[in-house]
Formats: sequence, C-alpha cells, structure tokens
Amino acid sequence: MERTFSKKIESLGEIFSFAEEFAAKSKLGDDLVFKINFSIEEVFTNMVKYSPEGSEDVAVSLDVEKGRLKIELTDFKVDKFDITKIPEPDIDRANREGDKGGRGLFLVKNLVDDLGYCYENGNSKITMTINLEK
Amino acid sequence: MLNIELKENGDIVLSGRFDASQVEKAQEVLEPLARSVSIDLEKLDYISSAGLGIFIATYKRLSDQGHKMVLKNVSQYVLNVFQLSRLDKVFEIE
Repeated sequence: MERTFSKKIESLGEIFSFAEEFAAKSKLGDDLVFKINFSIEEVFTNMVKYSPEGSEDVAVSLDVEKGRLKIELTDFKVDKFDITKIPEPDIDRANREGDKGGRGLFLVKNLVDDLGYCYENGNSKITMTINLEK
Repeated sequence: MLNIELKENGDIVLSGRFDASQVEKAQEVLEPLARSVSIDLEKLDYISSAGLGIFIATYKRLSDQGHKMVLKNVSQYVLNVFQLSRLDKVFEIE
C-alpha cells in the first residue's frame, strides 16, 4: 500500500490511520503497529524539519513480502542526505544534559532490523525492514 | 491525539498519543510547572522522540529547581521506548 501525505507535522494523524489500516489488512499485532508508527514518525518528522524544500508531499509505502515488513518513505526533489551515515549520538550525555532532540534515528535503529538509504533522480528513499519470522 | 487532564490533587494525566504534532499542547501544560509533579501515563498508548524530548526537558528543569517529576503506570510500549533511550535510568518511574 502506498499513499502520499503533505510534508507537515499535521499529517501525522493521517499517516497513523494509514499505517493502522495496513496493519489490520495484514493482520499485524499491536507491537508491530507501534514500531511502524514510531519508525514512520521519526523519519517523516526529520524530512519535515531538515528538507523543507522540494516536493510538498512525502510518499509512504508499506508492504509485507516473504516474511518481511517493509516501510519506505520517499522525499522528492531534495538534496542527498544519507541518514544511515549519521554518527551514533551520545545518548547518556544527551540524557544528562536534558537535550530535547537527537534520539529519533537511534531509537528507530533499535526497533527495526534494517535501515537503508538510496538517492535516485533527486529523490531520497529511506527503507526500514522488520523480519516477521523470528 | 494527546489528552491532558489536570487533577484536583495536582497530578497530570496524559492519555492517547504523544507524537510530534502534540508537542505544543504538552508544552503549554508542562513548561509553566514549577513544582513537583506526578504524571499518570496509564492511558498513554504511544510516545515518540518528540514526546521524550518534552519529558526530558521538563525533568531537567524541575530537577534543577529542586523539584521531582514522577511518571506513574507506564504502559509496556512507552516503557520500552524509555528503556531503549536509557531514560528509565533517569526518570523516576513508579
């Protein structure tokens, strides 16, 4: 299933509804719904914050194939920025100092089995996969 | 959607979903706090890093002022996020 959403924070409600619709059709449990919503939110909000230029929409795609859940977000007409290359944050320092941000991608990497990035034709695509058969 | 209830005894109850779109709403209630507070999270189904950021900023500010922030009745999914971010070692959780 794929749908596009306006690249603004206010779209999160619609995105969650889309994810829950997909999860219901695919008969995924609550723990996976949480991971899907969380992963999409963290990547989507980064796109809203850090690549406000480009297309006004972000495409969100959800698929289950061969025992793997695949979550993809595509940001159109943006500069290349490979999120998989961002250094790991010092979480303990951030917690001690009360830093508000910097935890999102760290948490996503701990919730999904794989995080990938690809840049093609001016579009950034972030792919997260969760193995369903463990 | 995040719902915020202020109880007569001063406790705050958060319910629903604490995502990035709900940050301003939470800030309106948590930023003016200048006292110790218990926040009941029994009906909070979801929290993202945006919500964590508000909690950590509130905790830090109140701690620096000599106050306490206690999180009560944390659901399994929310607790899991706290544990992954190691905030379960920072926050007082009952």
